[in-house]
Amino acid sequence: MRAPPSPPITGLLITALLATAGPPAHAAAAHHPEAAGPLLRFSAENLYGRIDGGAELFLEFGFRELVIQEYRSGAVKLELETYVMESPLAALGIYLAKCGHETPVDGLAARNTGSRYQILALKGDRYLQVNNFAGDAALLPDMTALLNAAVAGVPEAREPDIWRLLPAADQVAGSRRLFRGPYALEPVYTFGEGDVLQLGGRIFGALADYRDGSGRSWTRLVIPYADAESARSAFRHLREHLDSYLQVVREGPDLLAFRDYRSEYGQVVREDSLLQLDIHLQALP
Amino acid sequence: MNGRGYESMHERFRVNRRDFLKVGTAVGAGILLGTPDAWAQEQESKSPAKPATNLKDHLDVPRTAHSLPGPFPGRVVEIHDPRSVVEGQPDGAVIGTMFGQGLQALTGREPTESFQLLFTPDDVVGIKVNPVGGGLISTRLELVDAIVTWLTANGLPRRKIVIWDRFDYMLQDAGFTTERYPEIGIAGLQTMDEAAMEEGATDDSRWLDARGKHVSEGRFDREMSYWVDVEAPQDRNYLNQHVFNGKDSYFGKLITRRLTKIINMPVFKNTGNGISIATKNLGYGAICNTGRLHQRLGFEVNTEVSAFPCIRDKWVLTVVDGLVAQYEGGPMPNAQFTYDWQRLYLATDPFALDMVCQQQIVAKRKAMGIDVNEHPRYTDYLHYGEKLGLGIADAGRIEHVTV
Repeated sequence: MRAPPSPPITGLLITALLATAGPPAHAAAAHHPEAAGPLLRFSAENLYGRIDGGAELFLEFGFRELVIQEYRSGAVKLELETYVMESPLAALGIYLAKCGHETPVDGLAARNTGSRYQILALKGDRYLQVNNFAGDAALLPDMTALLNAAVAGVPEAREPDIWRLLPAADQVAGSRRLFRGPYALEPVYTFGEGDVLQLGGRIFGALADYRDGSGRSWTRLVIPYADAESARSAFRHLREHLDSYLQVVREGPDLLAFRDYRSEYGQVVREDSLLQLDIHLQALP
Repeated sequence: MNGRGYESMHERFRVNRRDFLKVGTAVGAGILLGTPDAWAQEQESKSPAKPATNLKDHLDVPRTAHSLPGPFPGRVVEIHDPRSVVEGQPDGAVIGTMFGQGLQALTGREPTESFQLLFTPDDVVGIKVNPVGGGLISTRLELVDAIVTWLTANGLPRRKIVIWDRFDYMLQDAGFTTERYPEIGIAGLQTMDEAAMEEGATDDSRWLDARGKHVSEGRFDREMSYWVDVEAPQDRNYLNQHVFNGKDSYFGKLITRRLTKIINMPVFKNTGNGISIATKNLGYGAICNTGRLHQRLGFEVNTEVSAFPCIRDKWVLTVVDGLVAQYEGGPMPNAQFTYDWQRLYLATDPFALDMVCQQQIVAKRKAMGIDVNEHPRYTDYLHYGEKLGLGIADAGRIEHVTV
């Protein structure tokens, strides 16, 4: 999922792009957003100071830099946050972790979801947020213009290969997620303490929901390790450190099945360098 | 995994930088993180073993007539009135009536008898509010007004009431000022200088004294500490935010030496897969040096701090402000996840109360399509509280009364 280098971020660049873009498409916005205050930059070392309690997820996916610029549109403040991630896959991971059910905003030249309070956008290695503190719907065109200027010149990423590891049949639309460690997995499931799947903040996994015959959903996670030995090691580590609330009901050299605290079942299978984990199953496979 | 509503305006909506710095989780770990390799080492080094604490040294202190869970273990009153808040605008008269009805449903007594059950006019009553996200999701002034009216109508002088929180400036931001509450004490356990945390800042004079000590050190009781065998980060930002950075988390002197009773008034909101309501508002609000505790102890801090006699024997009532609630993105305010819930909750048993609220927030998250990890770890601390005799967490033994 490599992409050509993206242009550097400068306040001047965005301001210039806004100026050449002409007035916002919607007449409701009477003002052009103008940069106000300095361009703030945050690295991995001080990101926690900006999003205390939220930095870990960015670092886990692979974070390079956060650039923040405040704008004024009339008397109202808008704020553009541009997260430069290690790769387009890292940016996609963050976007999917935050976007939920996507409700795209018209006129934006990037994948996005949003409302009058906030728009989240993704393009290439950039994850972007524009925040509208007042929640004034009349500022949506300004929010869109800011984002369009910010993503101009950022190369699109191609569809990531990792999705191919998830079967398409019966997959629930919009349920795909990425993970690279325990922070991204926390809202999904608890397999054990810490980095129990040995992802190390380096190995991406993917997941999606599926519908079974009765209409209930279950979830599949896939993790392509670098080689079979790494996958074997992760499988062993998981078995040895399996969460104490998960009761093993079947196991073999490369297979582990368990029943969880909700009396649902899970199954972990290793095949070559791939670990496949199914959870929320209604019966043992 | 369907529709995880977009999260984390951690970053905004009436939240400024100091809000982020103050409320965060895993602050200590965050400071250490920086590169994927460092991140990986940190994950690898995590130990699942619970760190040692000094709780057992305090469990033998004899209970009093007012010790948790109070006179109504397991009873939780939920009162709903759709007129109480409409599109975020509270109606003080309706809220006052709701409080009165809720109190009667909890105690089965008239307001004066309820007062006499829990207080005497000689008490010094601390009202612990939650001012995080002032105005949006903080404890509503109108509800505090109702409590103050009840207390004073039954003979408690205004000068014997203190509205408090851990951080002084947040009280101001949320509207808890001496102008708004004349004669009533407004007290933060500590201060923090946000300007000193900016990159390149060199002026520490607003939070460090001439001896190089935090100016709020004297507001914490060096004789009453929640000691936990977890190191704290040794940098200036942590010290600015947390006052101390050893292995002691001292209780505020306000709690140990001045207050004789506490009314807890949290708001109805989530924190990740769990909640930040009754036990967390006091568990993390009564002590300093908490940043180091999030990752290793998490919610158990709520339980263990509640078990200290200075909390256990003074915390007589909890009134949850569920007028406006938040189901995702907490504990920071996130406007897009707030909703008019138009409810109050009353209990003397905060553990039963938190269990009811946890179940309701999980139901709301599911209804809104948010991912929910229902691992028992997110409620284990409530059962731990039951084991310590502080309340009831077994859902089958909780009496949930709706009005």
